Amino acid sequence: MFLQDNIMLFVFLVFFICGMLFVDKFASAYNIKNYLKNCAPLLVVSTGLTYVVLNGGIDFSTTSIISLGSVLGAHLLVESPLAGTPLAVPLTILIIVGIGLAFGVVNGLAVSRLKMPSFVATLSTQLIGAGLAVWFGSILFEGAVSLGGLPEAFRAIGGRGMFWLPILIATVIFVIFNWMLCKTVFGKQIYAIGVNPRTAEVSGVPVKKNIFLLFVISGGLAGVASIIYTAKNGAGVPTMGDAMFIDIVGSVVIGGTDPAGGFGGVKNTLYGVLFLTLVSNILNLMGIEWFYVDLIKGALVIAAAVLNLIFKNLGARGRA
Amino acid sequence: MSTDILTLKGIRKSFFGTEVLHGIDVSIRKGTVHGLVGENGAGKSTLMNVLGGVFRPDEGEMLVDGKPYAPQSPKDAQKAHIAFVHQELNLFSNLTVAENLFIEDLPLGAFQQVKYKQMEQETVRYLKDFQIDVNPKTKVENLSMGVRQSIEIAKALIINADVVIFDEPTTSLTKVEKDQLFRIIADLKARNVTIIYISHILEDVFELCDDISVLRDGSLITTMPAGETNRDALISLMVGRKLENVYPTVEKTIGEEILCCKHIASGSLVKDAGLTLHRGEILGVFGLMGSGRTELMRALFGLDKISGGEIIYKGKNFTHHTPKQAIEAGIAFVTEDRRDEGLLMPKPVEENLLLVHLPALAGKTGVVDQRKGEEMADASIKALHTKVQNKKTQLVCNLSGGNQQKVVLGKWIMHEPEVLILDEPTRGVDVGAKYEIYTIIQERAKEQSSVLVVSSEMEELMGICDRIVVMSAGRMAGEIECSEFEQNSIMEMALAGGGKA
Amino acid sequence: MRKVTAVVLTIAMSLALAACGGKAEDTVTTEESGKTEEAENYTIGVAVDTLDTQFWIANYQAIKDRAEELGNITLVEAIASADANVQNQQIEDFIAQDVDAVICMASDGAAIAAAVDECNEAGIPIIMNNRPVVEGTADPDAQVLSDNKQMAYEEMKWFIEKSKEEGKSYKCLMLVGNLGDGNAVERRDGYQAAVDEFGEGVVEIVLSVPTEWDHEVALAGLQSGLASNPDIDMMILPSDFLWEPVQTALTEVGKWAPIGEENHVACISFDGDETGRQMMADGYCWADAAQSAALQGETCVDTALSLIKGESLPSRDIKDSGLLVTCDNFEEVKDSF
Repeated sequence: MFLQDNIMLFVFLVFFICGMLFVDKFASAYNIKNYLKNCAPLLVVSTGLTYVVLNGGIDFSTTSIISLGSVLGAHLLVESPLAGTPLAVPLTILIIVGIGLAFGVVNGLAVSRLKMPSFVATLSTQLIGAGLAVWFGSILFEGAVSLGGLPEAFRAIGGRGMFWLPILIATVIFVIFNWMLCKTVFGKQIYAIGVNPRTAEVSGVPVKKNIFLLFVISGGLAGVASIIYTAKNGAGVPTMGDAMFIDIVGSVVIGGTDPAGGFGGVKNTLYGVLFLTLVSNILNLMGIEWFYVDLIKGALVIAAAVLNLIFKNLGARGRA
Repeated sequence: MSTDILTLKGIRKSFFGTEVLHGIDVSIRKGTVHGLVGENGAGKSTLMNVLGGVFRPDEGEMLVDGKPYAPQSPKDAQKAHIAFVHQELNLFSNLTVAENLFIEDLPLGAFQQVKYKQMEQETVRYLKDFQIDVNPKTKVENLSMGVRQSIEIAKALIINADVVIFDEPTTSLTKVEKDQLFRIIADLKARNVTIIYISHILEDVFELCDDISVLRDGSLITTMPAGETNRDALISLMVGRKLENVYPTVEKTIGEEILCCKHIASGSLVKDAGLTLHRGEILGVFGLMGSGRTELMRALFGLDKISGGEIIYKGKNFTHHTPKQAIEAGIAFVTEDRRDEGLLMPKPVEENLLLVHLPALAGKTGVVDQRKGEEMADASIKALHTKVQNKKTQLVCNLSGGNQQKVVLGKWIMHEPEVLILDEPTRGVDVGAKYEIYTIIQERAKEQSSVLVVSSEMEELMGICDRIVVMSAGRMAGEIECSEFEQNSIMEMALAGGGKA
Repeated sequence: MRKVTAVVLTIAMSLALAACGGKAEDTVTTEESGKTEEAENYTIGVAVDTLDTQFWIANYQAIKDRAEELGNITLVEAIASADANVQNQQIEDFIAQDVDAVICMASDGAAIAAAVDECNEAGIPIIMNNRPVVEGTADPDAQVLSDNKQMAYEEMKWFIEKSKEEGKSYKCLMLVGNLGDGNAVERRDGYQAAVDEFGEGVVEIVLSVPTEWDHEVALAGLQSGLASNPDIDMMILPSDFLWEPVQTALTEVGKWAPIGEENHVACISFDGDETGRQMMADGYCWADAAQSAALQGETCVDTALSLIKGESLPSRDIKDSGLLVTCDNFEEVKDSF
């Protein structure tokens, strides 16, 4: 049973060990530190997305939150009246998370009250957000496309000088949100809604309110991820999050959370994040020619997803 | 001398290390109707699934018409001309009648397109055989349960079955539809088709069957001609004990009024309904299909909108509320359809049992007290005699119908409701479990809870209720106290508004 | 049974991965054994953004050719496809592999600062290839750049003087590249400076159209620009990359004609790639400031080698002043760029 539930952890460990044995330079301190630093922001945003996926939904707007947060954050830290003041960093953090939460509220209302499918609602907010990111970039960055020169205190969140800081943040978030999903009424109700919202409603679960909260969580955590990515790359880039969606959704799905809803969890997403980031790292280190990298990554992703399906069907076999 | 069309020898089957069929030996005579009875969990469905090619037996062999039969899949069973009409209908509600009938084998043209005209003509022909007059282009979701079942039967017979297995076919049928089914079965028998008939309704079994086999706890107890036994004897064999009363009795007092609703209108089916419920009272609600009984219950619980009338609960106005509010006020609702609205099918028993009570298990912090939850789940399983091996790993979809229903009941009772609304609580449940459920209902009433029971089985209502109200065409058609219970007068009231009979 | 299959599958995948790794290792060793005189073998990480213009293709090829020519250099490549986040990760992975130097074509001049910092800390020389870091954000060891500003300035200056000779004056539409790219900024500044200094009464820039180095964006901007300013008779292309949308837009308004014909719109361009050469040959283009894609690529490799060996450079920024190709000197120089 443990194996069945944690199959991706097992796969990850196997690959990790293979990496240590066969791949040159994988086991160096520098590489492991980088690997963990790369896992951190992905884990944060994917954790948020897990909540939405557990309900059978999707949240495309996470990438736009990352981009928009990056642009506005950089502006606040470098060009705005706030720049240089001691409050700059904490205030910027609050505002970026606030942006994420705002998106979450809009998405949540659209899905829970207006009954829009999450696909449609979050795709719309994603497009609007991406557009806003580029627009703000063009008017705020004085002619340039991106803005660097972020203060050291902020860049520390991305691991500059303190490589453990983003890892710590990600770990704390993981622990909190995993606990919330497993141990609280809210968390358990999410699984029920994901499996059968009608049964949940009859059984007294506040379905609409809970679904609303899922998107708020997803948006908020995307905001936190935006902070880490921006700090890590040392610049506000309006297209920061654009190519990330595959990794975000990929890590949730590969980790073992069922896209149809009701099964999986934040723990699974952790495995997915560890695995995907590991694959990228190993392929880069092996110097695989770039056009093979995506191919191999894609194939491994499919293989891992198939493994998940096999194990899922093992459990659900045998009707009365 | 009729030959045996079907012989099973020493069939054994285990799941996850637990043996559920202990060496079944049975022979079925050709051209007969062979009844199969037993409590839920006895192994009837498993045995039929082995016969139908869904499961492979671990040991034993089967013969069809004297030839070895070892199906690897349901398609093999079809090829051997064995057809299955399942308890839970397998029709696609969003497709038409014709499409459903031919779904396995759509007639295709030269370019792989579906030959609709041909399909629809053949459909009409088939259905005429069963005196079903339905437009083949109708979508199944627009048909009544009875007609749907007839189509399911027709579907099974398209493969020219020699053996047709019926698994609890009458649970969702009206009397008229049931009579029609029996006519069809007689018709099949006349054509030398063999029928295996699984049902809990023993009267029907006696009416239809030539031979009866009894399964109990995975073993075939006996097979005998129907004429050589009777209802009581059969029940004893099924349960292993003699049942004194089918309905339990308990000492209790009925208190003051707790719920009163007047002139309720809701949706299209409830026009002007009302009832009063007292503490400790078991009130039965009887009505024929379409009378609005279920819809009234849903409106009372807050699942459907109320467009007229008022509800007074515990002295206060309680007309418009959500299910959550109803639950917090002490009302519980066991819905008619446990698969879609009562259970989280692919989840374990424990998770299902705790679903309603979760907020209470957590208190202010929102953190669920896992241990307390486990204890309460264990207590529920024990009190209701739910047959479950491991509440944490066994999925509810793998339980028998009766045990599933006990999980639903357990879930609601854990929250100690003051008003318990039950809609068809013993549908698809075997005799032994029925008795247990009746006992539970009586116990709740004794502890000053109130129970509203909606049921199609008049006998059941007469057996456990203090009072019965009858609904017909969305209105109240009458009310009888238990001392005056009488089948014919109740049915008269139910028919008065022009409901189906 | 299924569990066993799954475990076997996993191990098979890992072995396949390892085998690929083995192959990559093999290629390294065979190259090594092929070398002749140099005792040291160096590894250089080449971080590429995209290879979607002729300039970059030529540049990249030149890097590969030079490395092969020198014989003691192994290249490790990574392509970021316009994702700044990915590029930084790729350079970190270069560092983990202990490369001796990094040649970098930056996706984003501001975000690349993080990677430059990492290289500095690891003591690995990093050379910016044609795209500079945003001034002041980081300190790469070297930058091989086109002297964009100077080249643009000279080009515009030539054109203005030519126009004065011919007694013509022009209303000009200036296309601008992606402003995250320092090169685009410099070119715009160069053109503008020349116009400010010399252009009075000869060249007037009526409209600036942003293109983000994207054909679609450029085309849309051109169409609306030409519609609102029908008297435009000159265009500045900051890169030969933009000829396609320019041709399309001008053809739509009937103004695509070579020098001398009616409706001709004077164009001056930048880069000097195949397309530019063709445009000059066909007479649509007055002048093209040619970047030496190959020369820059080569210089990157040579500079990297010098830095690895610990030699010091005359200056951090190595500027290629390119070649100004005009309709006057085209016949002479047409084969040298």
